Amino acid sequence: MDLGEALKKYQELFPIYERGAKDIARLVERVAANYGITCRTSSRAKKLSSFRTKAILKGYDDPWVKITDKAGVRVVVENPRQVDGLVDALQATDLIHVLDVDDKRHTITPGKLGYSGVHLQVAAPSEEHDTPRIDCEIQIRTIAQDAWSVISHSLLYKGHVELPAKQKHAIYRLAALVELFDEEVQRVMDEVPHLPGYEVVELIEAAESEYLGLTHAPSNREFSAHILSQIQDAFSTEERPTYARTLNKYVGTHREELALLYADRGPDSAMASLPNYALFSQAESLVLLERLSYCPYKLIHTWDAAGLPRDMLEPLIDAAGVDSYYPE
Amino acid sequence: MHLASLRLRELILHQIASGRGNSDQPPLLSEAPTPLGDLDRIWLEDRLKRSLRRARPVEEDPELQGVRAIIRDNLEGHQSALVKNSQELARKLQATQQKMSPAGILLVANAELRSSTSLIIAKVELEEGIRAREDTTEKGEATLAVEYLRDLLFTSAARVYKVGIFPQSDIHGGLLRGYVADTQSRGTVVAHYFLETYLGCKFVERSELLTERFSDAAQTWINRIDDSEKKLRYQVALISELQSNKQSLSVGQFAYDHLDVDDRDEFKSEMQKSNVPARQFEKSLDLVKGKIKKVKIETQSDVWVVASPEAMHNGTVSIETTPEGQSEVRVLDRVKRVSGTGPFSHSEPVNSED
Repeated sequence: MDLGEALKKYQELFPIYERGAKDIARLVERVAANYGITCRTSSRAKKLSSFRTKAILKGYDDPWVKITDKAGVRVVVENPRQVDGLVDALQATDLIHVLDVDDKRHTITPGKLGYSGVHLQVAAPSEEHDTPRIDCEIQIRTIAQDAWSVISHSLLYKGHVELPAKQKHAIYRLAALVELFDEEVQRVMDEVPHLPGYEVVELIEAAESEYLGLTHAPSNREFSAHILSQIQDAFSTEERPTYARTLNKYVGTHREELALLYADRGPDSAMASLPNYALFSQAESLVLLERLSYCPYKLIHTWDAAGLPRDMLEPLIDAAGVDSYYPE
Repeated sequence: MHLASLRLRELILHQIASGRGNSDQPPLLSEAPTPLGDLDRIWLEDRLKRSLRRARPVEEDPELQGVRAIIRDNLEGHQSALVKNSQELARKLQATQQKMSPAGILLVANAELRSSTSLIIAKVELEEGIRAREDTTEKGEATLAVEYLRDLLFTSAARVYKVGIFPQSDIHGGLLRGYVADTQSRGTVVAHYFLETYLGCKFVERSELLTERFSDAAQTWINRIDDSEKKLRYQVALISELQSNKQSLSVGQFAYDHLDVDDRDEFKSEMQKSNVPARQFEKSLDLVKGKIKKVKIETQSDVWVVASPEAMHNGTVSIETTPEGQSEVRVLDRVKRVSGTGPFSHSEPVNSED
């Protein structure tokens, strides 16, 4: 297909690519959340003028086939391990079909300054669907790589001036800083989970992230820490690393019921004034509801052993209609 | 039952006099639904859920009378007739209940369960308590005055005594189905007058079948345990539970009384998969009698030890796991007789002269 035909076709399909890119960005966010990965996404369909310029500058004989980033999604994560995690997650999901993985961290020439994210060429939806299937390029980067990408684009690729040695040296130092930044972020993040008390912080963050989506209200962190630190025995060692995902799955499965429970008993409800209903105004209530659903014995045993008042837990048990498998 | 989805839409309360009969002591009937604020509604929902957790599935019995026609009428498009229907339900309850039944309140509510229109019928008895309030003495001193109250309902510790819920979506093969609990009765029994004479219903599942399912599912779960000492302990507990004088069985109570904390949730989950109900049910041994007399220990080398649960309890037979992971079964007793088949086809006392 020559440039004229390609441009005509792209103009017709442009709204589909624009909408498709947004859909894929949302899909990536969902997959990332399921794996406990925090990310920021942006999406775009390539402008017609950029499509034309790229085809001409690159001299493509079949621009429609050769230009694979007509739809593009950029994903920025916090650390290098999350880049790998998200790539794995996207390859594992059935929602999109990964056609190719281009890991720039491995392909750039040593010594050459370059951008070091990971690009995935995907097709979505993965199967026949009402929505037309489009191909899309997903770029996954760390925050540092993203910053470097933006700056280096101005400093290197658009520059038509041969940089003097002093400025070149400065650029090398910046590139090294990007790598150093990511390595240090990763190192600290790897060490933090081994610090005392981290498991409680992790639980609070997982709970708050889900709770905010249901109630749009913050809860008292000190109170959360007080409760969660005392029910640590309700979690097995194997459950801890993936608990955020477990909680996310629980909330996803019971979203409708939970929305009703919190609308009636949450921080903005008439019940908020009753002392025994205080937990409904706290994010950790979600963790308690999940544990009551999955391992009521262990939770109740741990709760009682910690000397926490049963009167506070009973409204959760009642409201959720937990089966009477345990003696009252 | 998905009790989390229970929502009250409209309810009406009628006062039921004590005893049976409606001529001398007719029920005091409301003529309009009870106005409900959010706090009242949610409080009532949570109290009802607490009682319904113990409910068992029931279905109407065509051979019984009761109020099933009124329930069906209310469910099948006549919810606006709640006042009229509930008044009739109150009159029938007054006429049906036992002579010794105390006075109470009949609650009838249009509700939703699993998004299905449902009708709740509950007999709630009045409770007593003391209320304290700020007061001043004649000398002007601050004090707390108390007031005795004997008409309390739905207190935080109370259960709604007799309660039934009938979702429209559960009507199956033309038969009304629902769930009924009687938290006032001993164990799992629902007062006969309430279930059969008043509601015109019977339990969907017979007690002997539930008992057999409990026994089989628990046995299957126990057999999967690797630790031989624990396996034997649980086996003895199961047989003891079935042989005991208790009138009811409960997954929760069994787990709580006999299993290690870390095993309870897995046990519950396995019993749930085998359709053993969460709620307590009456124990009936008709179908399991033959399975619960003896504990049998069978080893990989085809050695069998058969013992009574008492022998396990009093230490006559014990089992331990060796450091190598093998099981050591120990019988501390006097040998009375050895018998066998094949070359040892006759049996004789071991202390014979031969």
